[in-house]
Amino acid sequence: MAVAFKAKLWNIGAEAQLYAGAIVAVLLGTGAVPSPFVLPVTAVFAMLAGALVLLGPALLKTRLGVDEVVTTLLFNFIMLLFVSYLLEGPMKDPMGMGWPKSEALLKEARLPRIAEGLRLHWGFVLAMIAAVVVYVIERRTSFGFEMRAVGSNFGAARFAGVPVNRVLIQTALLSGGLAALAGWSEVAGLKGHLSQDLSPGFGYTGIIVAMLALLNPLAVIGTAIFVAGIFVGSDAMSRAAGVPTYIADMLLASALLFMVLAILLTKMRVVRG
Amino acid sequence: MSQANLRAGDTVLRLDNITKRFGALVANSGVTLDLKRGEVVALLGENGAGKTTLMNILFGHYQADEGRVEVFGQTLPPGNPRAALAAGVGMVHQHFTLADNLSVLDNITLGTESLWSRGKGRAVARARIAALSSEFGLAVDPDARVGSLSVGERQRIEILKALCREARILILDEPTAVLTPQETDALFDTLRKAIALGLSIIFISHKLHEVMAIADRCVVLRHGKVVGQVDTHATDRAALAALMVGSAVALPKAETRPAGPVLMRISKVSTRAKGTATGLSDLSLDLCAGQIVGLAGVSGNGQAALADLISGLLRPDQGRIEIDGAEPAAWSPRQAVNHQIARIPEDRHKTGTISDFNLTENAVLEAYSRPPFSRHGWMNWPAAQAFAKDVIAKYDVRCQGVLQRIRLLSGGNMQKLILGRVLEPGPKIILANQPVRGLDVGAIAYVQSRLIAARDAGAAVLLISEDLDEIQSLSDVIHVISEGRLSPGFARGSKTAAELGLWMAGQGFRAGDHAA
Repeated sequence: MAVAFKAKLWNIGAEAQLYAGAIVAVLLGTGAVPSPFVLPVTAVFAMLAGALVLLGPALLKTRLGVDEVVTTLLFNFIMLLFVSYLLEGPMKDPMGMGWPKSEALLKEARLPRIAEGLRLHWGFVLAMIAAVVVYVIERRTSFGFEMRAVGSNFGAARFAGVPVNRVLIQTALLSGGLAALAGWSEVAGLKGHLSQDLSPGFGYTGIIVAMLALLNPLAVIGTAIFVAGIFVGSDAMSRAAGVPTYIADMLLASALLFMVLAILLTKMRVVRG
Repeated sequence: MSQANLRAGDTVLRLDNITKRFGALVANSGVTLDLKRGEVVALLGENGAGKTTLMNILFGHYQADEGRVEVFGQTLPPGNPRAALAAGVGMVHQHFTLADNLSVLDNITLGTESLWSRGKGRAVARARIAALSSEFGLAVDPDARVGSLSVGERQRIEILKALCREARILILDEPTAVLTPQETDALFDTLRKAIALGLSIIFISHKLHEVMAIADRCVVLRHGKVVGQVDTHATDRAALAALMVGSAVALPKAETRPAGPVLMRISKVSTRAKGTATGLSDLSLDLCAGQIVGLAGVSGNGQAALADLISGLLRPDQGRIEIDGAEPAAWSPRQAVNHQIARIPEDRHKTGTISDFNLTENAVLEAYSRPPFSRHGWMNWPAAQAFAKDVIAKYDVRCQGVLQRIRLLSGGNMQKLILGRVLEPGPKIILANQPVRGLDVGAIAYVQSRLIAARDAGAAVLLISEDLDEIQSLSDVIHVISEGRLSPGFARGSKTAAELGLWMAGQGFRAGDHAA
């Protein structure tokens, strides 16, 4: 998400890309691919699926000038209903006692835990690696330079000869791929199957994380852990002390608002009078 | 108020020993300035000399570290724009502060009307605008939407706005930077009426001939200090320029030269009008090696379309462009760069640079995708920094280093960096769109001499400018553009300013008549 925002491509549809990744993880991870390669293969195809989901809105934006905020946001609902259809129909687990969930992944298709007894799985490491890779792309490659140029000043980038449309589409593919990887890792690392409650709004939380990190991919790591801590902590608080879990949403919403306000105020000067 | 019974010659405004520091930088140092009733004082100085800082202190946007501001004998509380407004100081900024989607009337009353008696206030304001417009010769339609007005008209509204708020002292920050010669004349007429009615004016400008035309007295700032106060009738342009930069500056004058082979040919190109921008209509133009072609014309007559066409942003709807006798396969900004076209854009803040990027990143903005700046998709930042350092040294860009953000540079230094970026690769064709707009005398001389040097090295230069003096002192061949049509070319000096003026107004040459 931070990737797309860097190029001022407002990808609000990470939720949809995340589910796209999750669907692919389940489709390919339940016996379609021979076992030694199943993890890398499903990961790659999950990323492709996510990229494909964002390709549509990106093309609409570059070709017809359709606002990507609307298209990506609406894609979330399309994808959610599509998942619901899959879970009630073609992908429903025959042994699932009627619950709308998919077959479980094969053991080989799942990401191992980092240590026995922890819920922490290798997806966490993968996410950190992804953040570092994105950082390197932004700072060290000419594509990253193009991305930052398009995001900072579209007109100047276009004038200077940056192929702006190509950059926007490539950025969309990267962003969609990464969101789908998150969905894949959620299924392969934690849940083991696809269900409708796979993501309690991770795609939207991602927006907050990206903004709080000021779109810096390395800062995203720390911010994500912080935000996750608040969410998990709120669950624990609600179990232990009866505090409503909504407190987490409120905390983050106010954090985001204060952050935006702080950015605004540092750019302006308060004048008395 | 006491100001009503002041006589001509009484001091209305006094800046007393103003000093302002920003960290280590002393922006104003012991500046003292008097303004008398009915007087026009021109504030002259290079970019960064401290003119804007001084005016911001006067208007209460900044607080001075030392010194005080006295208006009509009363000391203004520091750092309070409202007090300055109430005391009768009105400011017209270089960049207008108008809301495009509101009417003229709304813009003028904005911020002054009370919430409750809106209807009544508007009627009063309407009458007042009508009275002031006729008194000062500022014709405007109070119900027109500001977005639909020309730059000159918008400036009139800014002035009206100040007058409506009972301003007795007008500060004009580079008011003519965006005006055509005719609009400038109209502005000066207005200002003369204002003086006759007892207003006083501080006029900030770079253009010395305008200062000579309108000001009674010139105050010259350099490095934050007043280095000279002279009566305009006792001085001349050369002396003022020398005061401003601290040494005599001669604007370069190019000798005309015979043209070399045609490097770029635009033949019978038409483009559609885009929004408010005029398109081109059946325009043909040859750019020859070793020649500067000057394009004169009133702003908004197709200059933008022609510049976009050459920069690669626009493709011809009809007609064709040829470079070295061949039509380029696909036309885009990248193609233009690859065809060795150096492009100096009109707006260096918005299209020339990315303000959040540092000098290095801006220096390689066009060439980043080629070796040595990047190989196989990986940026080579050391090479980019070396290039940026080279440009900074060769083109005399004053900055803190290659990692400084470009937004912190003055306009002149920004332009020098752009100049270095596009000229260093040794271009064949140069598009210079308003290359010296808003620059100070020193920077203007520098930019112009670089363009002449590039021409002498064999480049074909197209110079687009609204400044007739600039066109006439630099160009080998001059064309006039009007409503997207190009006049026949003629040698510099072969037409009088009056003839040029007629052509600029669209009379006197026939479309398609391109006998050069």
